[in-house]
Amino acid sequence: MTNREKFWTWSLSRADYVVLRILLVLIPLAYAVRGLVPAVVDWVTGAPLHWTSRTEAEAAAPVATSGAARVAFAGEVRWTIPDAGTVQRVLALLPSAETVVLLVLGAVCLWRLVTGIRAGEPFQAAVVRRLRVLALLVLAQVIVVRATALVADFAVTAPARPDPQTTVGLGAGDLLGFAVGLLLLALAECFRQGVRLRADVEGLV
Amino acid sequence: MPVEEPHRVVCRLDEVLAARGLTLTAVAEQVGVSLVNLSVLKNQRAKAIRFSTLTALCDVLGCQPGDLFAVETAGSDAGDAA
Repeated sequence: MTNREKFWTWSLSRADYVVLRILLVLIPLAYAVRGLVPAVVDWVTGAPLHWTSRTEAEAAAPVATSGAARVAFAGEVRWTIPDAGTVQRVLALLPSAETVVLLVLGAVCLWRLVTGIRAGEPFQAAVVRRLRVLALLVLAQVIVVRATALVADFAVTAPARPDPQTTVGLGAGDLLGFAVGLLLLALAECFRQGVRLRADVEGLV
Repeated sequence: MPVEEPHRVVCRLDEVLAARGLTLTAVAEQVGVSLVNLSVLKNQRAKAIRFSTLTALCDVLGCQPGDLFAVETAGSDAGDAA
């Protein structure tokens, strides 16, 4: 077998599954530690609320340029709100909390899906169901968490602005999330056909 | 007959084996089919058989497909429900 053939016919080993399972535990944990814990600690200790929001405005950046080139900050601004109320704190935590929940649910789903496939039974109704759940979780991340973030952004920053507003828009990450969600739904449909074909050959000698 | 209805095919492998004094294990080894699959066939749980398997069975047992399979008449006890 050539190296190219080996590359395309490579299959997961036991070690690969162990690494995958470790990642399924670490990724939600890392996100929770990075996204939730600092905000909760700030709340408990009374530290200012830190919030990042999108903006269409630009501001000059302290970067040396030459010729006619111009450089500016664009896209995001970081708020520091010292007297944030409980509602602001809760709403600021909500998008990260939702993401952690979705990541945990997705990790559990993926863990069970991988277990089923590794047992040599990929074409089962349970696998189809888990792929669809994963697709819905990805789409929920794009739609629900984005909507929550918009509401949170307005609620957190409105008291600190003379002209309360928020920026609505789909980023590249959102579009990628839609694409991944649709891809998972298509994959679920492939596996559903596989379940049907498996049933057709059941009892074949 | 619509494909979804149960079939009335009966496998007489056990009778043929008994007549020739052969065991399922020995035949499975000669045919090149697993003992589990041959047992599925013998116990009326099979739903389909590959032509290659049927050919090998007939060669080993020295018989024809009609000696191994029969279709029961409708209304009598069906061999196996699909």
